[in-house]
Amino acid sequence: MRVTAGAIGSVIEVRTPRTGRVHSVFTHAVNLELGDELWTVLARDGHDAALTVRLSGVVVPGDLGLRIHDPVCVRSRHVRVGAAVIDARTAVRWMPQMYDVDLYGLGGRAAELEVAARHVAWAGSWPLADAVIGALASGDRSDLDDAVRRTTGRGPGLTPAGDDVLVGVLAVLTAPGVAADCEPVAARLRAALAPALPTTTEISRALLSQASHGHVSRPVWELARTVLSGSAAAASAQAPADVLSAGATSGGDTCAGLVAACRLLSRSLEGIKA
Amino acid sequence: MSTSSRYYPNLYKDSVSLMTVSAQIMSVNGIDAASVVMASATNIDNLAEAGLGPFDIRPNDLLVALSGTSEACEEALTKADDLLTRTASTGDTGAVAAQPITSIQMAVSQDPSRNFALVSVPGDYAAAEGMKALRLGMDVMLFSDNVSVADELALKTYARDHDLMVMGPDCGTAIVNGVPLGFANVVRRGPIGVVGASGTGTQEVTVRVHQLGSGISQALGTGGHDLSEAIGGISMLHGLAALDEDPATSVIILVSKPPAAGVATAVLGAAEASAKPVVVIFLGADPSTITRNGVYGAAYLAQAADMAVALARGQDPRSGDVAVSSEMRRRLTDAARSMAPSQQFVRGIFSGGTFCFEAQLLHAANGVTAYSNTPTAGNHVLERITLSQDNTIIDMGDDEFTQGRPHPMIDPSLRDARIRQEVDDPTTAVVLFDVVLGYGSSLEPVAGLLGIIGTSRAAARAAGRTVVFISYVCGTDQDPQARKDIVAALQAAGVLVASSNAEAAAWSATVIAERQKVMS
Repeated sequence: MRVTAGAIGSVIEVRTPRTGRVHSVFTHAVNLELGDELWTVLARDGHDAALTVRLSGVVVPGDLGLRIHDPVCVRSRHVRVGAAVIDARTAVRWMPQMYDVDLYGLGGRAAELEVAARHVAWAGSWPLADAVIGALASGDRSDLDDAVRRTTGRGPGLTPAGDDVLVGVLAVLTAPGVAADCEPVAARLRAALAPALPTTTEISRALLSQASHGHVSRPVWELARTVLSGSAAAASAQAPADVLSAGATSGGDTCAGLVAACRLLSRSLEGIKA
Repeated sequence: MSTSSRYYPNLYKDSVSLMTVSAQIMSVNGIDAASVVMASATNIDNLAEAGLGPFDIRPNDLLVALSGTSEACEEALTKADDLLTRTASTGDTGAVAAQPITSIQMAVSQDPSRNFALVSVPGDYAAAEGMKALRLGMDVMLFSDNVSVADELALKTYARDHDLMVMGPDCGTAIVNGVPLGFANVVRRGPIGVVGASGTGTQEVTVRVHQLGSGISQALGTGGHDLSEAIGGISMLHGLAALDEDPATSVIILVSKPPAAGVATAVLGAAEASAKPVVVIFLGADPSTITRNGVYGAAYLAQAADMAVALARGQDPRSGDVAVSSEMRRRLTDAARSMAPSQQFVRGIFSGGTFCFEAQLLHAANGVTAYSNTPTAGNHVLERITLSQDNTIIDMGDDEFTQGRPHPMIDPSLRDARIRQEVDDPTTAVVLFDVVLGYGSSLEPVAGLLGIIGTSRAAARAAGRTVVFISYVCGTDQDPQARKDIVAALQAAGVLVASSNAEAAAWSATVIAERQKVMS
C-alpha cells in the first residue's frame, strides 16, 4: 500500500537513509523505532509533534497491515514500513509558532485551566505536580531527585500519569520567552529525570526525552501558548479541549503539570532559586 | 482475601482501553482493588507497598493486579485476559490482509449495487465524504457531528434534487431494511415506519413498538438540525415521502423537538397529504395543535408508539396524560412521607438527550421546575454542570460532559460517579436515570452502578435518609444486553423500573410533588 504524508514533525529527518523497526501498533497511531528516536505515524486528524508523520488520506495507520517488529527504512523522503510506503515528498513541516510570555495574570489563567482539567486528570497527578514544583522551587537537589523518581512512571495509562505531569512541567520551563531564564531550572529537572527514565515505558521515555528539549505535541504547545502569552490573538479556545481529550486522563495529567509550572512562573522568575 | 496478578510482556494498549478493562474487572463481585497499569518501576513499588506485589517485570509490560476473594480474582483475571488478548490478537495474526477499501469510490467499484454510505469521520471531512457518496448515487447516513449548517444545507439540497436522502449530520440512530445502524435496538420488523430528528427519541419509539408486539419497517434519522429554519426539514420531508410510498409501511411516526414554525407547517402539511395515518410527536408542543385530518398529535414518546400500534391494528388511537397507577402512587407517596426533612429534590441523570428533555417536560407538567445543562422552556441553566442545585435534570451525553470522554451510553462510569454524588447529597429525594441498551451501547451498562446503588443507599440509610431510585431501561430482550436481565438486576437492587421514560419521570414528579406538599 502506498500512502502520502500530509505533514511531518518539526525535527523529523526523512532525507537521510536509516533503518529501524515497528515498535507498537494502534488503530490511529503506529510507533517506529529509528535509532534512539521514536517516530509516530498518525491518521490525518492526529496531532503533530516533533517526531510525527501525519498521513493525508482517509487511511488510518491501523489499516496499513503492520505488525510489531516489521522493518522500517527511511530514504529520499520515503518511509517504507512493512509492505507500506509513506511518501513524504509533499509533506509540509509543522513548526510551532513562537510567542512572548506575559507573566501578568498568569496565575488567573492557570487557575482557569485547573478548573477545566480538575476532573479529567488522574487524582494523583495534582499532588505529584505540586511535589515536583515544590522541589524545583526549593532548590534542594535530593528533594527534586526524590520527587521526580516518585513521579516518573507513576499512575494509570499507556503513558503513566506522572510522566504526563512531567511533560506539562517541561512544556512551560522550555517555552519560548522563558526558556533562557528557566534554563537552570530545566537543567536541574533534566538531570533529575535522566536516571529515572529507564524505569518507565519506552513510549513515555521518548515523550519525556523530547519534552526535555522543548518538543511537545501541537495541542500542548498551543495550550502553553494560550496560557503563557495571555494575548487574545494567541488564545485558542480549542487548545484546552484538544489537550484534555488526549487519552483517558493523559491530557488532564499534562495540564496538572502545566498549571503547577505556571504557578511557579507567576511567582516571578526572580523567585526561582536557580 | 487473596491477591492475584498477570502480566503481558510488551503489550501496549491505549489509555482508554486500559481504563475500560480496569472498570470492567472492578465490577466483578468480590474484587476489592484492581490495577491495570504499565509496569513502570514506580507503579510496581506502589503496588508492592499496597500488598499487591512484588513483581519482577519490565516497564513495557502490562500488569493486572487484583485483591479480593480467590474466586473473584480468578473471574476478574479471566475477564481481563479476554479483554486484553481479544483485541491484541487481531493485530498480530500474521495473516496477509486483503486490500482494504479506503474510499467510497473503491467500495462502489467493487460492487456497484452498493447504494448506502454511513459516514463517520471527523466533522471537518464529513461533508466532503458525504458529497462523494451522494455523487455516486448513494443515500447517506452522516454519523459525524460538527458539520456546518451551510454544508448540511448543500448536502441536503443536492440529495433532494437527486431523490436521495441525507440522514444527519449527527444522526446516531437508524434501522434500515432491518439493519440497526449506530445506536439502535434489535426490534421486530413490521408495519410502522419512523422518521426521527432525535436519536434516543427514535430508540424509545421503536423499542416501544416492539414491546407492544408490532414492528418497524424503517427508522430513518434526520439529524437534530433538520427541522430548523435554515434546513427546512428537507430530510424529514424526504423520509415521510419515502415511507408514504413504501408498501411495507402502513403507519408513520415523526419524532422531533418542536420545529421552526414554518417547518412545522410544511411537515404537518405533508403529513396531512399522506395516504397513511401519521403520528407526530413534537416534544413539548401541545398535541391539539398538531392533530388534523389523518395526523395524530402525541404528547410523549411512548404515547406516539402506543397510538401508532393502535392505528396499525385498526383501533382508535388514544392520547392523554401519563397515568400513575393507584398502587404505584401509594407506594411513592409512602416513600416521600418517610424521607428526612432535608430531602426535597429530584436529581435526573440521563445519557439520552431526548430522555432528559422529556423528563423535564413531565416534571414541569407536574409543577416541578428544574435546573439543567439543556433546560427546556421555563427551566433554568445549571450554573456548574458538575454540581446539582435544587431540582436538577442533566444530559450527561451533552458535549460539555463528553469532551475527551466516551458518551455515557458507551462508558457509563461518569454517570455512575454522578449518581453516587447525588445520593450522598442530603437534599436528594429521588435519583432518576435512564439505561439505554442496543448496539453501540455498553454491554454491561449497570455493572458498576449496582454496587454504587447498594453502598450509597446503605450510607444514606445510616444517615437517616431513604433515597428513591427510579429508572427506565430503553431496549428489548433481543438486544445484546437483554433488557429483562438488566431490569431484573436493577429491581433486585431496589430500583423502581418504569415501562417508559415518561412513566419514570411521572413517578419521580409524584414523589417531588409529595415532598413539596409535606414541606409546605
